[in-house]
Amino acid sequence: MAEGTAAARLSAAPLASFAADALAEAGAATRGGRRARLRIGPRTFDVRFDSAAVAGAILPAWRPLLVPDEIATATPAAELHVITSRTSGPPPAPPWGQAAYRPRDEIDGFGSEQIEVAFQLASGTLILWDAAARRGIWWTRSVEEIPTWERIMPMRALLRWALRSFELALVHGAVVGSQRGGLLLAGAGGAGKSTTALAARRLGLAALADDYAAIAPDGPVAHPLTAFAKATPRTLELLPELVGRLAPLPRTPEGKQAVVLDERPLRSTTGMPLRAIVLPTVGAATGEPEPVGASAAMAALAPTTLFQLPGSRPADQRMLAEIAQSLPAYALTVGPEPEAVAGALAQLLRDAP
Amino acid sequence: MPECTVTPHRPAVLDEVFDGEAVLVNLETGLYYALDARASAWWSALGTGTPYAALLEALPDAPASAVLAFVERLVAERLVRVDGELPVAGASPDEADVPVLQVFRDMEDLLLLDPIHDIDLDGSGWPKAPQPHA
Repeated sequence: MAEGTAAARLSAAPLASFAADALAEAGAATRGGRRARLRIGPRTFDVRFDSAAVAGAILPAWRPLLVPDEIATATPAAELHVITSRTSGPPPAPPWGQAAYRPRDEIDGFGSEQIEVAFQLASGTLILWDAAARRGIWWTRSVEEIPTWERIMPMRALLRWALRSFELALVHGAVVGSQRGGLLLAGAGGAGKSTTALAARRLGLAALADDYAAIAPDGPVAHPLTAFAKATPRTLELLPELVGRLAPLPRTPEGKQAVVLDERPLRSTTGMPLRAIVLPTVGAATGEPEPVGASAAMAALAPTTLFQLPGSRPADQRMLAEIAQSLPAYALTVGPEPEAVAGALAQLLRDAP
Repeated sequence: MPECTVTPHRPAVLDEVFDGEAVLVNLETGLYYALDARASAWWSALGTGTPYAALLEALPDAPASAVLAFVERLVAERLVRVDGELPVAGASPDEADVPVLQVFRDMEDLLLLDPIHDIDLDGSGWPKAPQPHA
């Protein structure tokens, strides 16, 4: 997290040089390989893979978001290169030393809104975004080492930086809704967002996202980022109808399994206009929604979104603040009865301005 | 009074004010804060950095001891840095005179559980795959 510091200013030139080299090698590695057009909201991304294997690991999550070549007319907003070192060799040597690796995948002294960079130590993944060139890299060690959570919600760090360039915020939260619009469920892990979103299906509400969504603050309007949600064993007990929708992926280290969301809402090109923010907390029974202020909504949205991903910048916070200020917010205690939870959300949607 | 300047700890600290109530996020520590109206006003008086004497002038109704206690709290939370020396504290302020800074620690574990251990580099200059624990 270096922008604005003396270290960041000193590293700008070496980082720019490294980025240019890495992007050149990435372009060469993916030339002639599998390509896909990924649509997130109003933007289309040209995604290029160096192997069918890595495409096979990533694309299932994006299936409802892919634009077939034969109908793709929009000029891609950006280019993303997805590469494995096992196929194409490692990225160029980095300009930082081994002492530079920090928590949250950040690299001490390197990274800015102009060129973002991060490195996931566990999977050996270099993540880089050049905002001026509108090109990004996701260069991982091997397909076998791509963790399940990455296959469920691919490349979230890179997508956040890319979406930022187009005034779209990648927000930690769940989104459920209907033709009336959507509700953004916000809060820390364990607050009940995913289970609440999946429970909402019981009353015909669509789950657009359970973990992260792309949100345009001008609206605000939510767009999906993946075809999958994550369910704990407890969620599957509460909602046994989800067992038939489990995706053929390994469990996460926390024991969660991927559930395939209904595709039709994910295919919407206009997204889901948001009507309110809901701050769920798990309790003994589902209560009545209690209005809360924008500061409470921001406290629910900002920390989890900003702390969990590398390279958080003032622009990310600004977009979250715009979202928090433009919607009414409610605290909601959610109990173990899925129908009661779904009913509370449906009522909120009916009553929302 | 010794001279010093109090400056919000950018870029680690991000802040936003909603209807007079501020939410602060410290990306370095994983802590976030809700400030009541008075704390938010005092925080806003810092701007992009202000001499301590100017801060006192900007808060004429605030006891100097309360302002000092507030700034010392901000320093302890790594929300500001001080260039120079703060005055030596005299009598303790009335608790009611010191604005409320509510701290939330529930996200702190995200950083604490992600420690960076010794990293070995491979021949290409990149970290080697982590070895499984025995």
